[in-house]
Amino acid sequence: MAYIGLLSLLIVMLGLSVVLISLNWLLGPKKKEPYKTYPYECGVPLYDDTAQTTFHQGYYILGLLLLLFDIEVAYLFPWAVVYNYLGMFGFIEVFLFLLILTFGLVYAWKKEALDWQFDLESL
Amino acid sequence: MDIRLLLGSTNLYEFKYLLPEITVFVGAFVLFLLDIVMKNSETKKRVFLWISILFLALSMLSFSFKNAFFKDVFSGTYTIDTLGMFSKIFEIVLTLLVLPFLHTYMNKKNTFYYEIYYIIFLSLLGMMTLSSSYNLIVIYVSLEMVSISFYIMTALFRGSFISKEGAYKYLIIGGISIIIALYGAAFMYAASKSLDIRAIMSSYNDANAVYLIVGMILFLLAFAIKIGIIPFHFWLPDAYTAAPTPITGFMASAGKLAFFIPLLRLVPYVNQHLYSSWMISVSILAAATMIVGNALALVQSDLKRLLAYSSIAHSGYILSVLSSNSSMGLKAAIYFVFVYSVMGLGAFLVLSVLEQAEEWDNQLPKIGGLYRNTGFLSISFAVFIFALLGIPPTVGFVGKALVFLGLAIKNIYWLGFVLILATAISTGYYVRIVVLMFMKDVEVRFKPHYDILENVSISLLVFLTFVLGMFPFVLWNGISNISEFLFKIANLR
Repeated sequence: MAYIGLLSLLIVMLGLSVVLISLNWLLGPKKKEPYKTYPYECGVPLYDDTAQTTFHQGYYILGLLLLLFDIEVAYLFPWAVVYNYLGMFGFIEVFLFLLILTFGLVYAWKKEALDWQFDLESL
Repeated sequence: MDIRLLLGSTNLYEFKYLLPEITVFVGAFVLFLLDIVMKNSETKKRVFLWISILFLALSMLSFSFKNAFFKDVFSGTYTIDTLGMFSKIFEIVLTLLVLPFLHTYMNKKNTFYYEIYYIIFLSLLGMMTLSSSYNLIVIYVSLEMVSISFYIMTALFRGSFISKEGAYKYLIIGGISIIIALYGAAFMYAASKSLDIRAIMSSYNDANAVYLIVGMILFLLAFAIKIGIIPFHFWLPDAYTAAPTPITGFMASAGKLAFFIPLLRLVPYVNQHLYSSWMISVSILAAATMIVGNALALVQSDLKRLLAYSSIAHSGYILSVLSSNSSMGLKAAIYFVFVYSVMGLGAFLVLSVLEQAEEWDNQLPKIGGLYRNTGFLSISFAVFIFALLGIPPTVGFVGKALVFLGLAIKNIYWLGFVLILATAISTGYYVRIVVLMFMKDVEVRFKPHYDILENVSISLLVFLTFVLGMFPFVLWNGISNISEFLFKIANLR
């Protein structure tokens, strides 16, 4: 019996939301407009009506690079928190880590992964 | 542990024991920088080949600076011993033998990736650290290093859909095996409060037995996936067929050798409490692997796939003798894993030369009358095939005889008979290849091309196949000492 309040809250929550949504659906005005059913894509026109086409390969390369530098930041935060405790040892370790990541960036650069003007024929 | 304590306990002079590994690592970075700096050209291809050979030779030379017979360095996380040194030298030599084939293969197949050179170096680095550690974390990290390099190298075949498919299968199943290994390592750590396999295995008592056994089962399951033991072998034929053939040879020889070393290191520490369950589970897996691997190889029509299944069957032979858990059994296993890497690599390398011909599509009938096309290649291929089958005076015979001996010493006769039965099944497909090569008319006429480095490489492998078979004590004396020493150290704990 201790949780009866919680249970009643749950029932009221569910009932209220069902009632409000169905009232909205019953009483609200309905006007058909072409842009109402148009999928929203960051304010730019759709590439494709069905939204089922595959993306260009370049997007995946960008996604991978984003992941790489996301992880870099994720590792730098805890290091920054304990920076005073780790001292020179931590500094050298993080320097090596960043050095290796920089090599990755240089590699991506040289292999033209950062070339964002995709030429559809060449890829 | 306090970071400063850890830093204080690290002796910088201990880095001299890591000299071969550091050389390989530096080689990988030099190749990487060259790849960024240099423009693509024919000169660059040759420069890459020769710089790789130079760094591998330097790494071999740096073994002479070590002067420790048995030593734990870096707070016990890294072990310098003779088994590690033997396997590292073997891995470096096998990589040296693969490189010239890789160069011409990528040139001929129009799939030249400069990345493959430093990825090979990084996987070699992983193999070297895998071969010389008892620490679970180091084993895990180097296992990942080897595997991820293998996934990438499998996919590096331009314009081939099959290559991407095989690499994807390998990636998924390899990733699962790594997760299982990590889970097992967590159980083993929970049971024993230690990350060192030696300490974990000797901490056995009734209170922690359950966790220890669960951890061991999961950890060994991961290794079973990596080396392609039968119920977990599905990725192996696909990945081996998909990869560029020299890379397949590298995976089947150096990779298999490296994946087996932690298992070999574990064997002396299986004590009498664990012995019977270890013996039963390992011997059943080994029997299934030998029989099913050979039976599946019998029905293959693709030569590369056939050799991949034969590689699975050979994992079974090596695993079978690990079940005996005796010094003799360990010796036989170490010997067999070394000699398999020689003969398996040879067979794949010959195939990689044949594949460069336009008319060749790896189908079994195409090998008909190969003797009339190319005498040298067909004879060396026959030598490797006979070695895989186990005909004296090649290494395969000595290996299988030693495996049988190791099983007989512990009275596991039924597994010995399974071994003989499996060998009998394997005769079917091995002899068919040789008959087709020498006794049939020419199916397709072509002139395989191989340069002087490849010629030297194949000749050296043929030479090793005969010499290690006729004078096994060249390798045996060293291996015998290694095995007895490992058991002595294990019994001291």
